[in-house]
Amino acid sequence: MINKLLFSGALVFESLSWAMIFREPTLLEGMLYIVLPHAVACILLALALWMFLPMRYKSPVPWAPLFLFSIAFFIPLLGMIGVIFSVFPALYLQRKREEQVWQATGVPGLPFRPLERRHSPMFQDGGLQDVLFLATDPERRLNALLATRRMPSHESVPILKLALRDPADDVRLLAYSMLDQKESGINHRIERLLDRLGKSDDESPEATHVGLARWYWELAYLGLAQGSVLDHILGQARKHAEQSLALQSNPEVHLLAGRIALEQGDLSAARTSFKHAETGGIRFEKIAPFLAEAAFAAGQYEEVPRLLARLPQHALSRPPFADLARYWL
Amino acid sequence: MTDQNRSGPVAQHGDQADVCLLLEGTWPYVRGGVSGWINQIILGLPNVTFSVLFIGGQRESYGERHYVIPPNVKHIEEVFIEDAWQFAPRAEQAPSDGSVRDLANMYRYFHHPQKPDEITGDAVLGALASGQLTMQDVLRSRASWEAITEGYLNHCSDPSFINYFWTMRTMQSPMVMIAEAAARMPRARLLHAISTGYAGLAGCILKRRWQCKFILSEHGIYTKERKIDLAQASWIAENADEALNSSLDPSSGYIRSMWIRFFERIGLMVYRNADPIIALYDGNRQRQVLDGADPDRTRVIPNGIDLERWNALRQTRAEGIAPVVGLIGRVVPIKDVKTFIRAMRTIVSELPEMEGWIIGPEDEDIEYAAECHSLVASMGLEKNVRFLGFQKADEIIPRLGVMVLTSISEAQPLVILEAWCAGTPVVSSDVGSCRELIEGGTAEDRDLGQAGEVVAIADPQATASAVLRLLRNPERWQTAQTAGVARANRYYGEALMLERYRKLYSNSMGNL
Amino acid sequence: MAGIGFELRKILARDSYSSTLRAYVYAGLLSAGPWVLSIISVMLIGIMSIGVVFPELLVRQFLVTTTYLFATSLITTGGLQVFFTRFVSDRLFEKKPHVILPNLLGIMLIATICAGLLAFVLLWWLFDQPFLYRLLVLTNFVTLCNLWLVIIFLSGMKQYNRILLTMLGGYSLMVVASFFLRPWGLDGLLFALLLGHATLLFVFLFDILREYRAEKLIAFDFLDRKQVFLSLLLTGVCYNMGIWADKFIFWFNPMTSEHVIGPLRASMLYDLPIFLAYLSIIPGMAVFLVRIETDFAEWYERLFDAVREGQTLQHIQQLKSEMTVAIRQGLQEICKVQGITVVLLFLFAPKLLEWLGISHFYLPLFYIDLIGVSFQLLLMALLNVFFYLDKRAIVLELSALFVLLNIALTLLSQYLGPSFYGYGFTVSLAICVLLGMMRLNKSLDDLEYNTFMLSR
Repeated sequence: MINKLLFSGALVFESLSWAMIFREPTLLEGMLYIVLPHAVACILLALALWMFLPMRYKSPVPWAPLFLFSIAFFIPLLGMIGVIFSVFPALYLQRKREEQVWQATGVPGLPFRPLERRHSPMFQDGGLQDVLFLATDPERRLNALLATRRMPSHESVPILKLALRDPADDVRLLAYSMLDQKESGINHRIERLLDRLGKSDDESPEATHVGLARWYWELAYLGLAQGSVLDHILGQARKHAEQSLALQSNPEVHLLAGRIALEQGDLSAARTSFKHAETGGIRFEKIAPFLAEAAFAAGQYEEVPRLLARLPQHALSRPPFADLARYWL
Repeated sequence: MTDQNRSGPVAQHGDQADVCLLLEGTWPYVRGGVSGWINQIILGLPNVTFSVLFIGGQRESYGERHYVIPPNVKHIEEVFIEDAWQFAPRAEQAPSDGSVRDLANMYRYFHHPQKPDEITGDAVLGALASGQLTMQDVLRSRASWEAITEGYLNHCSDPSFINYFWTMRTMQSPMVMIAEAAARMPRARLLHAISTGYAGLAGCILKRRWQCKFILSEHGIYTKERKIDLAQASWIAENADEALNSSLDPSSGYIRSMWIRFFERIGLMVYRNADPIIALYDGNRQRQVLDGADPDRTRVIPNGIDLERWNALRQTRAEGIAPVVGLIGRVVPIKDVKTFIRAMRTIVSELPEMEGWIIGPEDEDIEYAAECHSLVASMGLEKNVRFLGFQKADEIIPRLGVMVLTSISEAQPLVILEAWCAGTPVVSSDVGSCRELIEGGTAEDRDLGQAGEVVAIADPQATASAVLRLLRNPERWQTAQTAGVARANRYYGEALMLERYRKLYSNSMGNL
Repeated sequence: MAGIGFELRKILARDSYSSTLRAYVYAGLLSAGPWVLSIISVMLIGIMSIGVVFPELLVRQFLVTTTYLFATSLITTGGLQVFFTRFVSDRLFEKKPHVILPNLLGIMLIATICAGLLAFVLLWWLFDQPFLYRLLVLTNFVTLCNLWLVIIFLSGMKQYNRILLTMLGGYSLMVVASFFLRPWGLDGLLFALLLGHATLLFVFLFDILREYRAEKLIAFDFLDRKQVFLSLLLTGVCYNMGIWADKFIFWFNPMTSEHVIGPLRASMLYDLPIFLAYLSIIPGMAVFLVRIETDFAEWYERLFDAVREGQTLQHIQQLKSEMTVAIRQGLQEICKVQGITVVLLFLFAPKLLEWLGISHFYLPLFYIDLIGVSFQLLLMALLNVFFYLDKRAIVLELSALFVLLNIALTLLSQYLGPSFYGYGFTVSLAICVLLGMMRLNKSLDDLEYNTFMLSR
């Protein structure tokens, strides 16, 4: 209702001012009979339009209506038309910003990036362990440690552990800090996962449990723990694997649980888990080595060659199975 | 803490101080062995007046002072390395052209792959000490740009120029800032730096300014510690190829080696300028010589403790071997408290009545402390292992059966000496001078017997068996106690140490 | 011209002659479009009205009023344009498109009110024309001021066909309206002018408002000192004043001008050649836009990506020299194209003037103006490069020098006599271009040093 009033008021006042305009008014008359009614009309119009604006465009308050007013006022007639038929509808008909789906580009040049100038490697014959044992220069032993940074962790950990007993302070410290970094890294992940488990909004607790089981297993597998600490870690890994399996069966996790149980010496549990893994769809040649290990641990030596024989030929001809095959088969 | 203990100079008035102490990240803000030692020196030599230049890393990481400033400290000046990187005068100031020669020398001395000669070092020191080389020169001048880019083009093998560039700035600007801070120091009659590194550099600059003697006492070996930090530091940007590289190349990137080189060069400069160069024990002295110190200038002054006070504590011991294994130290990674806890697991399995006490503040690394607590819980040791927090050493040590030190890095821990006086044998990891302490250094010393046992670091099994050997064998325990008491009293008295420093000071100043 | 490079590059990436041609046409029309079309339309209106609108003085009054409207509106909003262009580019770079709309409307609000009040005061104070004339002048002024602000966004919009059609439509409307409104004399023509520009303003505004969604209608973030560069305001004002300084001097020197309407004076002698000459820079303008916004801008981006991504110094230096080559080639190409245009116009100028019914008396002035506007094009190209390199101080220096030299040398040329007319404008631009080249050389030489050592 009030809008209608405002609009018609604006129309009336604007017509008034236009009626005067062709009478060649003097400046004062113009101000009085044209500008004044025009101003009133613009105020009414600005208010009316402002009330119709989309909610978010009504603010900020003195400025939003003032903008409508100023355009309408300082550009008589055409400004009004513009505000009504351009600004106002535009604010209602805004385009959604679309993600660009594709874009034509020229053929990019090859990346230009020279390789670092490398000096020849320091190693002659023998492994890093030999360097650690035999090199008299602590610098070389330090370098041997640094080189382990590029090795898989489960290979570098024994070397680092060895270095903890090095006569030189530097070597020991470096080995310690490298080991500590590996361990802290895993511990941080475990903590984060435990945190997530503690929260109620965890969408897939079974995945979190698997994650925990895998990281605890990693700690044990890398050889970062011994003795009672190792027992504790394996216990945790098994617990989380089982909790995950209770929520959702997964052959990979069964396999993991089996390996953990095997490491703990719980052979029957290990065998059960391996069985589950196999029925779950894991290929037998992936499980066979672990079953062979279980058989060996249980003293059922006749089982071992039977299981190893089921590995594919190419696997048997290469490490780590080549030596085993030579002995058992 | 009172206002007086907040930052800021203690007293600007008064006469010229006798000794200017140059400290990096220790007294009076941080607790620990080195800070305790500094406090001991200042309190133990009340007739000597001191001024202090404290060099810290980040201003925010130093809260309140942990030591009351003694009255013989006349002046404290503080400077924080990180402030140098905040320095940003706008480009509108016409950049000065800098001294081409000074900046080239600076590169030559601190960053060039080849070991620099003494003349270059002297020239750089001269430029820094005279204030000729300003922050503007280093950060804004064209000469600096040329020196930096020339170094990059000739030597840098890391492809990323921007990494190299910012590394250079991060290294160079603190040196100038320290030179500027040194210029603000009121003159003292003698310089005494407690490490190489930035503190040592300040010593070199001030020596040049004041033309006085410059003593260096090193507890640990600064350069070595930096190297270990840097080898693992993750804040150094690795370039992409590095991460992909799978060869067993030991080089850890040019940026890393630039940093290591930088600290080596500072060390070298300090060793060339300081006289005498003091280590706590012979192992470190040899290391200093290896790193460039003139053997004739080096000498060893071991730590010392107040024998009278600590010997008296032996009387407060209960009869027999207390069923308590204690670790005294802040709960921080460097003390490797976790190894202690793991060792306790084995000890308790053998002797279930044993208790493990962890005695030290836990507020420095709260995260690590929490990890230790959860380790205790997960090992099922809640009944046997207790965290006692900070305790007065003289009250707690006599109550321990065996003291264990699992630190992965130490110089010459005072706490071992204190334990001995109080009659407690020590099982320590093989770090710093611990082996020399426990087994004896010289032949004569060795004749006193083993005052405990030394084991490898981070080896819970070995630590546990060493502790068990002592606890289960009273005779062995007794011999260790006797050896400890004798050794501490013969070689490690505070009076001896203070007397050596007093002499050193008075010789270097002429009269005192 | 934020965003245009991106679109041009897309067109060029199709890599065919027709697409290349299209890129150049777009670039030419977009950069030169609004004001060239304005000049043509206004002239067209003028020519159409001769013989219909009596007395002929009215036509002249219309042309002069229009010229003043353009000059004053460009000078008043020149600062805002440069300043706001940078503001918009920065916000888009920060990926904050939602702040664009409220700030555009905010700056339009301020511009409308200020322009309205300024025009009101001036018209009240200096004019004694009929009310309707004054009303139309004020309205035209406010509309133009807003239009210059809105045009900033055109290059960033993607629907080029639409933009071109809008322009064509707006100016056609203006011409057609003038045809029907001729009976109302000066007022009728001014209203036709208004109709055309207002149509452009609101159609463009419609498109822009649709493009940038926002959370509120008005904002004044551009008043926040931390988000803008105030020196750009001064730069824009200086540059636009520089462009108009010589004209105003000729208009208000009684020797070279005559009174036309109200306080407005004009110089027949000086105005016609220079406005004709301005039409000659359209091809050069297109080349400039394509070269600078695509080649140069591309190398520029690659250079600074290389710096940020940690490339080798050698590679950074190589990219810099590529960028330098791109700038040099761009400037050379502008020179070539502009040179050919100028030579052709030199040859055909006598015939052209004859055909337009303009006295041969204007020829020397036309020649020198042709050279002058070519220099102006080069100066624009240089300024654009400096804007890219973020050398705001140099841009300000050149703009200020331009306005000062133009004033001084134009006065000198008037003192020296009619055969020197036009030299003030041309020589001042030549000096600025020379200085700009020197500055550019130095800036490029010191680029790495400045980038690394002098920035935070």
